Amino acid sequence: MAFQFAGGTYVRTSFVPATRQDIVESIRTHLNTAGWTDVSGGVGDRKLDCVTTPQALDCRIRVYDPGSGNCARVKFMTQDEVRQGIDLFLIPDATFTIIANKYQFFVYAPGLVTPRHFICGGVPFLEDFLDGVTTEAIWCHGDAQNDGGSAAGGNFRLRAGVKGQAWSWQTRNTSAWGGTQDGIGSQRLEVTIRGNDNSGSVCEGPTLWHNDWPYKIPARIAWGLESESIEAKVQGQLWNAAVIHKDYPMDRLATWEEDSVSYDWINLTNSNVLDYGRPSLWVAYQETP
Amino acid sequence: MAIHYAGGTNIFKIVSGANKTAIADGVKGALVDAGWSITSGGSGDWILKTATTLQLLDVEVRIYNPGGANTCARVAFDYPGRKEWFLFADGTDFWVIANRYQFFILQNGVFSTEGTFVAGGVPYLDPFLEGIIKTEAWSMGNCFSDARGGLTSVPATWRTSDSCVIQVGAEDNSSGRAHVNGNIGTAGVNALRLMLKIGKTQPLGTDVAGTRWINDEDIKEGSRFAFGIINEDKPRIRGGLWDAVTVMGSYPGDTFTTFDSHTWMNVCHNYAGIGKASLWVVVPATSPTGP
Repeated sequence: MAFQFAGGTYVRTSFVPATRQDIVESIRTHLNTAGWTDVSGGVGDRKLDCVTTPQALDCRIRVYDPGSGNCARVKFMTQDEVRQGIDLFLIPDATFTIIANKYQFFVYAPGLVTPRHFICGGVPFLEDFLDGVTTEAIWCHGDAQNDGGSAAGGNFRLRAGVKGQAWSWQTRNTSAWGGTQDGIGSQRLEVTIRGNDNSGSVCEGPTLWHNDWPYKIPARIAWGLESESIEAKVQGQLWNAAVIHKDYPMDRLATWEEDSVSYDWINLTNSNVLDYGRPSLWVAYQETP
Repeated sequence: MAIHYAGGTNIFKIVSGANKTAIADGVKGALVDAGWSITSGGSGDWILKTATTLQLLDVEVRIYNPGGANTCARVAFDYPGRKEWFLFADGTDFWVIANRYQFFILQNGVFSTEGTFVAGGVPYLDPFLEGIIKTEAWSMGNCFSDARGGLTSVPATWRTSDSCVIQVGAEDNSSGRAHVNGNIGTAGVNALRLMLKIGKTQPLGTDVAGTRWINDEDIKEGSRFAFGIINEDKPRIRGGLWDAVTVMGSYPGDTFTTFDSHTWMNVCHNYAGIGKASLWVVVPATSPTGP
């Protein structure tokens, strides 16, 4: 179970949008830098394709200003646009940071966990035995259910899954579903717990080594194939991403090596004490200079 | 986590349960075949020692007939806080699965009867724990006294669960016990636990998922375990089992499969806890060799 890094150009850049259109153009610019290509559109309404992964997965996004309302919107879809996701919402009232590579990205507002300040998505890495078995896999979610800012309580900014007021979308081999669904099939990260941890009424705290280092694993993502009522199964692995089993404040930075390469990492998950093992999602945003 | 193979010889052997001495001598023979050395002893009372791991861990164990009217052979690891585990000598044969660092002793198809399961050894250490952990050993059993039937229920061990537990409210009635660097492992709910992979987003509830790949293959990884020591709030991960994988699925005990170019037997029988798991260990063949 090795960590997977996308390679190419990694982006971690802040932008301060004054308008919905500013969000659109900023995301477009920085995804271009990360390797995503323009497909169509113009100022304020762009479509971009990610790079195709070595396992032949890809996706398209539309990032656009709807012309009214509060938020710019991002919609994930298949590159043939047959399967289209849900609108994810970002409001231009804060400083945002985008962390992107050629296969996935996260947009968040440092220090904020209020709705309309976080979206994420992309295509995962596939293990060898799923290469060719899974021919389509796209995941995404946000932290708001609508332009008005109704909270999507479960998101990677807060915890290891979208359990609770979800606003997510995913597809695998033509089986696409999403929206407010919230159940055993909802998007989630694989975590590591101790046997018997699950017998209690509260989470048993972080999962630590003997020397108190938190347990760290590649970030695998699971969802149910057809609906929220179908058991979530592991689909693949997020790129440049680790689950660390300890609660840390959001936006905390760290540097560590994987496979003898040093990377700079940021924790996206804010002090998660809700989930077993208290997992936090860390993303590598650059090789250490 | 990668699977860590002990190397050397894997043993899968039938040991006679005809009497206490036969058990002691049979287990001794199996462990010697697996690469353990004899420290001292004679028929019916042996002290054996594991090979020393690359991380410089080893441990001694005494396997003996206590004599008298006792009904059980006994297994006593030599480390702080260790307990004696009891193997009932009622004529039923035991299976011994061993490598040079650990063993499992069990009765085929018997899962919930006292005095039928003992396991223990020294763990694999990840490189960053080498030199930090200087001594460590673990063991467990499902019988704590010669009076089989004395417990209200057969205690959970990795034969039936992902965890060892405390029984009937007494600290000494823990089915698992370990030590690290001279610190005695705590008993009860902080006793030996396997590490599990799971996608579960909150305590309780029914949303356990993420234990299988999308192609329905169970998540499986080299077995790691955790246990607590005194003055710690929660168990810490302190090593891995040799020749072992934890599979996130529930299966009948004593069944076999093949993967990673090895034959495996499931020790953990039909565990139905929330985090369903089974513990598979390497065996050289799908049937044991005779006594």
